[in-house]
Amino acid sequence: MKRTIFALLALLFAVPFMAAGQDNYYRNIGIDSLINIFRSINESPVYFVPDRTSSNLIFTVNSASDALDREIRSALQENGYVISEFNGSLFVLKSTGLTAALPVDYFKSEEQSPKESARQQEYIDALINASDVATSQNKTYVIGSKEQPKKGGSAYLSGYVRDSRSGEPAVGVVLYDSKSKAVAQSDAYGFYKLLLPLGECALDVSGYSLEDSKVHLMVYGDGVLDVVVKEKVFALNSVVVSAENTNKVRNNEIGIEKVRIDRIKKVPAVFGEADVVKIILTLPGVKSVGEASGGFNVRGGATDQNLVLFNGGTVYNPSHLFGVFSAFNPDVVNDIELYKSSIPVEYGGRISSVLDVRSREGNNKKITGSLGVGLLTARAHLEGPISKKTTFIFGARGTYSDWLLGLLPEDTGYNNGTASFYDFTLGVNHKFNEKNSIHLNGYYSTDAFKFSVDTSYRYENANASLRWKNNFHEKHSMELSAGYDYYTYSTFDKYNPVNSYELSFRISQAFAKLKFKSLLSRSHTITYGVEALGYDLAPGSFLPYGKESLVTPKVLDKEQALEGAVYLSDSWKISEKLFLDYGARMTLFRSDKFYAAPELRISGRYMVSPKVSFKAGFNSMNQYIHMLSNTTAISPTDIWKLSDSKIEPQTGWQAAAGIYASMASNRIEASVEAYYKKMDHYLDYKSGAVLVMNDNIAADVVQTEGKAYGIEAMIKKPLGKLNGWMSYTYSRAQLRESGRQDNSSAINGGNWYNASFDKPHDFKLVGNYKFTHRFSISLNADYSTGRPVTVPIAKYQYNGAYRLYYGNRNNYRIPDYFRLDAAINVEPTHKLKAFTHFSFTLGVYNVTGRKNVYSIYFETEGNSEIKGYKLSIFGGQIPYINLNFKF
Amino acid sequence: MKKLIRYNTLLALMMAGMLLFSACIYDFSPSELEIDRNQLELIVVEGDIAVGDYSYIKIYTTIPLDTTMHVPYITGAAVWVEDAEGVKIQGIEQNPFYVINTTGLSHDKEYKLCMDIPGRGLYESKLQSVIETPPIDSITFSIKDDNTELYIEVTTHNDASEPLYCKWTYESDWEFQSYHIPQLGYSPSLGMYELSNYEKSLMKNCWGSESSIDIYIANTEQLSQNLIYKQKLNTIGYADKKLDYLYSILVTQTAMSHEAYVYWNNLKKNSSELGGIFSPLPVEVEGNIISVTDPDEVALGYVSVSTKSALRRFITREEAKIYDSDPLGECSRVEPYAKNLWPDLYNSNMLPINYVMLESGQLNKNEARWCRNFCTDCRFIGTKNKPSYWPNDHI
Repeated sequence: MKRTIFALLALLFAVPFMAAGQDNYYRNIGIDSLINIFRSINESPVYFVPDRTSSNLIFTVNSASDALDREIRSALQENGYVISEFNGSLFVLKSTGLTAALPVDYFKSEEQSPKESARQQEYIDALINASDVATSQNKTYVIGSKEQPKKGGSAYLSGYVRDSRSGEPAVGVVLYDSKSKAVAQSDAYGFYKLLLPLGECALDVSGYSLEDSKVHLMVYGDGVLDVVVKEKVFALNSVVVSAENTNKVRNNEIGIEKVRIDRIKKVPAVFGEADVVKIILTLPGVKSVGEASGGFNVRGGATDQNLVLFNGGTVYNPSHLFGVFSAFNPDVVNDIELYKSSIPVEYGGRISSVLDVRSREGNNKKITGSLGVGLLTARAHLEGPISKKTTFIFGARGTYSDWLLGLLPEDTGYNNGTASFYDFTLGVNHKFNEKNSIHLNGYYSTDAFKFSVDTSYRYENANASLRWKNNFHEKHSMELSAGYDYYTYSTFDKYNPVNSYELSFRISQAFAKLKFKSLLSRSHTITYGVEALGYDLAPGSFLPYGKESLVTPKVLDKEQALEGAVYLSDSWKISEKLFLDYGARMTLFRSDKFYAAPELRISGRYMVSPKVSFKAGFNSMNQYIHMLSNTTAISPTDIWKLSDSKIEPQTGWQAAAGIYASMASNRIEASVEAYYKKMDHYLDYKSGAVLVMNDNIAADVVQTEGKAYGIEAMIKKPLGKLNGWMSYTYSRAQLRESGRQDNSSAINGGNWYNASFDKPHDFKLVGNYKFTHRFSISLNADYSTGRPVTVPIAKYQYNGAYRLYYGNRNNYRIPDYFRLDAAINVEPTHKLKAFTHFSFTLGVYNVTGRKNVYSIYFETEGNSEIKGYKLSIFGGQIPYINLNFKF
Repeated sequence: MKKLIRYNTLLALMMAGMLLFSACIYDFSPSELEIDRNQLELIVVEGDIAVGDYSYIKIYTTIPLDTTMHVPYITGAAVWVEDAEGVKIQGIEQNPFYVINTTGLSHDKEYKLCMDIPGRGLYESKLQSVIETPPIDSITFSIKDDNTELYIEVTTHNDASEPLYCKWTYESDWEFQSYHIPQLGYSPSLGMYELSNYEKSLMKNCWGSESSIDIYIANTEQLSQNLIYKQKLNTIGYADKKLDYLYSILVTQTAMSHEAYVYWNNLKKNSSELGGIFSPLPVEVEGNIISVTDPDEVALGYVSVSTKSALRRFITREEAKIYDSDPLGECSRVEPYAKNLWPDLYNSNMLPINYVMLESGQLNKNEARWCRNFCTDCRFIGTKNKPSYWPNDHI
């Protein structure tokens, strides 16, 4: 297997280089010639370390004499070389793409202690003091002790991958040893762990939008190595193989989607707000009932079957402004991961999917920040070091959307209304040492809206969590986290003094999680852990509002429960081609009834060839908290209910298989995934159920079983001038009332009916074309079959007017949905010294102005007519502009 | 909770309105629905067993959505009220009603409505005990802050320990008057002529009437007392002729069971609260009529067994205060026209008021002042159907 997908790493093309002046003109020269010219114009000795790629570089220098030195330096820099001055000598080193810190104890043997101010200095020190400066192709890092090589043939290497400029952890960076096929990916903290054979090896380091690089190692034993990666500033013509585009072929999981925030920011969105959650609607297998609805449906699952995590805390209502926006500030979010099919064993509690949103850790070099202004919101963020080992990141976002309500015609009665939202995100990260770090995260969001002085709504999400990550042993790492999640809503209505009330609902939960990861051998990595989650729900309090109110105070009994889980999984490399992830999670739940259920998580991958893999997976899940809703979209007054003796836990399983291929020199990735999913005990509302303040809610909901299946085809080109993805999905989702003796009064007579998010055909396109480094255009297209709705099939005159007789639930479909969005993105200048960077996005949502139907409904008009209406939420083009300043 | 649901609709509307530069609602004809109608003719039963009064029951079938056909009343059915012991009180057919003398029903028994429909079989409502309706305490009205609307409100209470569930219907009548009292009449055959006092009276006073269309219900489930306070019924706009002279509303109150309340609440939701983003989805409205012949057959309607109470309230123009008789200035716009234009004016829905007076004080009979016909003759927009109870001697 000499040819690996990383082979192309070796290819690096030089950027055509032009400079002013006519005096010196060197065309198509190699790097050796360039270095000789460089030597000739510098008095200091110049040391150059050729590497494997340098011989491929071709330079053209055209410059005036006085500028030649500068031009050569910048030409070298642009190709990833750093020119460092030390003790009067100049070193040209292919190392900026990868500046590596040495094992901590490495320097202890040296006379010069490392200076905190400059890693580069340390590096030069090491080079000077090392004996192989002149002969080595590149710097070789010694791991372990040469004098006491480890026995057993292999050793563990671990450390953090960090960004060279900000010092933040670099997530999802792949470290790959082509010889032993050992591979590791940095986690959310930038941490990686790798089992390497003793002896010489070369690690390929690659990541999305990072410069690819190589680390040469001499492994004698276990050790620690921090790797610093550099973000690509320029779109070079070089061939870059990134972690993102080979992810699907190579990783073991099936049905996982990762999206980086820079991608999210470019996809056109309504009102131009980069939306962390809405982006997932552009991925295959993810649907929503309509625009501006808060929830999303993954592979035929209901909206409450998605676990939405923000830095580990559960966010119950991740939307702002009735679902138009998601509740995460894009400036502090690092990336999102959506698990549609194989859900890692450490996640549980929802039966459909996990959406894991993570914020950044903050720049550890200097204080930076940004300001953003859009049509409806303004946002700001600030990040930087607090001390040498501590960083912070803070983001705030607020709206000034009240002006929109003020524009409403007076006769709507809502122009006195107000709607506002805010959210705040705080992260503080402290690294005690190479092995220990703690992470404190806080999140708060609130929405308040009013239609008149008489009625108001309000909801809040809050999360706080603390995580301690400890790599206590070369082979073992541990993560301990604890946190508190909170969600509440309240509404008051004081229109009629006698009936005035205040209604509120609250969920609070506290959790503690302990997770271990151990590398048992080169072919086995196990993950195991235990977690506990305590729920405390105040399912409703209905209190009089004002002195005249006759409302009887009513407070529903608190619901409390404890959910626990233990899990164990093993990543097993059976052979070079065959990988298996298998694990089990035992979930326990106690409310007024005890439930225990095992869950299976299995996924396997077979590499048919280096470019083609086949995967299959099976997972089963349990869910002990349920959202009850009788509206189509997630509404601000939906109820959450814990399982108890009357409401059984939801259970579900999914089987999926897929083929993944990378094509066109790994620049294009294609995949086809198919799945079948079964759900049980999903709660659907009973006709006419009142769910709010219902103390016998079990009697007003019905248990249903669900089935969903589909096939998703996707072509993705993550990088290059033209990048993006295109997907087509055929899928179905159906429900059937279950657990009833007599089917005659069951929903649709106890037969299968289409779920309201059953939209069989679905085509999505997300595209971005870079004209230059600064200008790009983005295009977003979305087509899907119309969603099912319930329509009347007959009418009758009753109580003075026509009334409607509705047929079976979801017996009709609204017209198909199509939307096209376009945006122009102008990136900041690349003058790195500029104090502020300014960027803006100009776009149009729904370019074609298609009046997509959100719903069809009928009302009695007068006493003689039934009128039908189609409601379009965004019935025209919505232009937007979004301005951003970074400092 | 009803409020809550209502505000969900408002929320949806607001949402739509908030995005006003783009959001929109389009008319849509029910006939565009490509659904199989397969001659769905479900039996609908409308009316209650009114204990202490005559019960009026209507029986008909559903019709397709896109037709405007008349209500297909079922005739020739045998309809009776039956108690738990099987004692029957037969009704008689008085098209479109079946009328049953239920004046003598006991308040302590259970009753059901039975219908034997030719060609369809036997239908009946559930056996239910009699629910006592408390009297209406008052009918009041209040005026919106901006003086554009007037709301009629009803207040009632009882002292029972169980919550009170009420439904209201109303019949309203109003008298209104022409804006101008004309001196002249005109017809193509007679030309201009002086009006008699009788004719002037005919043209001056008119009446209109309207019955409730919406479903008005309320309950005291959430309250510490069974007091329904100022429950809003209909809304009257500031330029509505109802407020021109004298308005009368007769509110009929029916107390009902929780089950009946759920039925009416669902029917109400299905009629007017759908379609928004957070609106409830349409529900299957299950009534209390079953087909004895074929239990799988769906029959619609809910027949309650209860006493009824009623109260009438008059509201004068002076009380209402907000009335504007001519908000668009249609009637105050009065122009003099020469004789040769009169036939054309008459043909364009105008009527004369009086002759133009010369400076000498004499009338110029070749020039008359005309205005829109309904400004001088209320019969163009009203009727002469004066209710029998009307408290004045206007003709």
